Amino acid sequence: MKREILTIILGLITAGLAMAQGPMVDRSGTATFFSEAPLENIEATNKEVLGAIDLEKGTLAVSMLMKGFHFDKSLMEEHFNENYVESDKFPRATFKGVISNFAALDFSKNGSFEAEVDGEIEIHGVKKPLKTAVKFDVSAKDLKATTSFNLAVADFDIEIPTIVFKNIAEVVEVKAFFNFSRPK
Amino acid sequence: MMVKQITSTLISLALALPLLAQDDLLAGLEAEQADQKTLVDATFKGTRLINGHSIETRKQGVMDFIIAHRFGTIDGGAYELFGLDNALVRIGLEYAVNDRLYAGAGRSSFEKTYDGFVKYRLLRQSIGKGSVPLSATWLSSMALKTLKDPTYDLQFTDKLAFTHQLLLARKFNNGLSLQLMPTWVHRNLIGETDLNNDILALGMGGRIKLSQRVALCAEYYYQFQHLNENTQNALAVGVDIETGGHVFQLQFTNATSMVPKGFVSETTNDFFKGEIHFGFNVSRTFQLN
Repeated sequence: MKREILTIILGLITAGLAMAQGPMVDRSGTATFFSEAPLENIEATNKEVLGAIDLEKGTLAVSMLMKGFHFDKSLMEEHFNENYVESDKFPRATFKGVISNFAALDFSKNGSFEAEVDGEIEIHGVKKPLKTAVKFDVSAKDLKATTSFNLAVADFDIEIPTIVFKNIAEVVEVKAFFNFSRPK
Repeated sequence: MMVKQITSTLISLALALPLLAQDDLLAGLEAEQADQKTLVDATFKGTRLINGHSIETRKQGVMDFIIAHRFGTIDGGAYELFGLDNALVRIGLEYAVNDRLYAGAGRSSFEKTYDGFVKYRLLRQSIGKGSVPLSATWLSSMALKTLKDPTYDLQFTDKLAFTHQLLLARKFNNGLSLQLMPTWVHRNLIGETDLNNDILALGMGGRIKLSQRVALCAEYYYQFQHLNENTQNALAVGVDIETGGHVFQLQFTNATSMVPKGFVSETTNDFFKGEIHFGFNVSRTFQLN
């Protein structure tokens, strides 16, 4: 009896090791946010976003430096870091989550499909639950992931003074894109 | 019995795994970024501390239009509306060639002075791997006084004065930044009652942020030599207010001039006798490319 259990455990470990290729990481993911307000539209892009996906467990993680966001107007970038998101105090925005319909998805076949991701986003030191649909494009050489969702600025304790109320939207549209290359 | 235990342990482990894995996954990413070098921004809100320059320059392709006023001294009382009857103005245009090189020119109504300056960021304060603890900016300024002098026939070069400064600053935290300014002022020609062509001074100043958009500033220039017996050290206290693309700086100072050679070495008013000018700088930036 004991032997059998041992065999099962050993078997599991061996199988686990064989499967464990580790997570896939993209170090040059893209995140953008877009704010549409009566006086001006503001768009910022971060091209140094770190993203990781673990295809054994169906987990995801994203981490980006706030100072990695670049704006068309450099003064806006300074104000973004200094006055709004306080990058010195809160240098990063992060996300961690699980693919809730992971069992129903097949990441081994080429094609594209949508996954439901359920997790937690942290910006400006404030953590909020976030559910979003992520579109995956699977091919032999890589795995592309795209998502977009809206965030209310006030949810993250980011204060917009009345004087610039017409310049900054209360809800901003966030988009992210990752390209995970398959290990060779 | 044994089997059951093991099975339940395995099941609970299997269930816990994705949760743990999320944290591991994120922790791994964060660890990669932990040491990444980033520049410290916004040590000061403007390119001027009050009268003098701060270590700040604008980012590449930004043009800054600055209008500065200094009114008469407030000890003129209500009759002169505390100095507001007399206004001196400097209009300046500045441009950031790149993130380190900044240049500008201006014209002051005081002594009909034209001035030009070049500023270069030698060091930029940063955090992370290979970080630099402070910012250093070099400033060279030239001033040309064009007010006509009926008694002397002055050459062009006689009317020139130069100021060189090494600006050193550190942003200690979001609320406090301090700056030191070793300064050298040189005049090609001085008056008969003047004593020194060259004046060395040490400026010191800083800002304390009162809120995200409002800061309190102070600035003082101590002179090791004086131009003549009447000159005083320049002191200024002010408030910075920032609203999007504008920075408003309101100040009280004993200095009359708004160019470095002037406020450092030609200030004759005594701050503590109430010979104080109210003034303001308004900066408006334009992103050209």
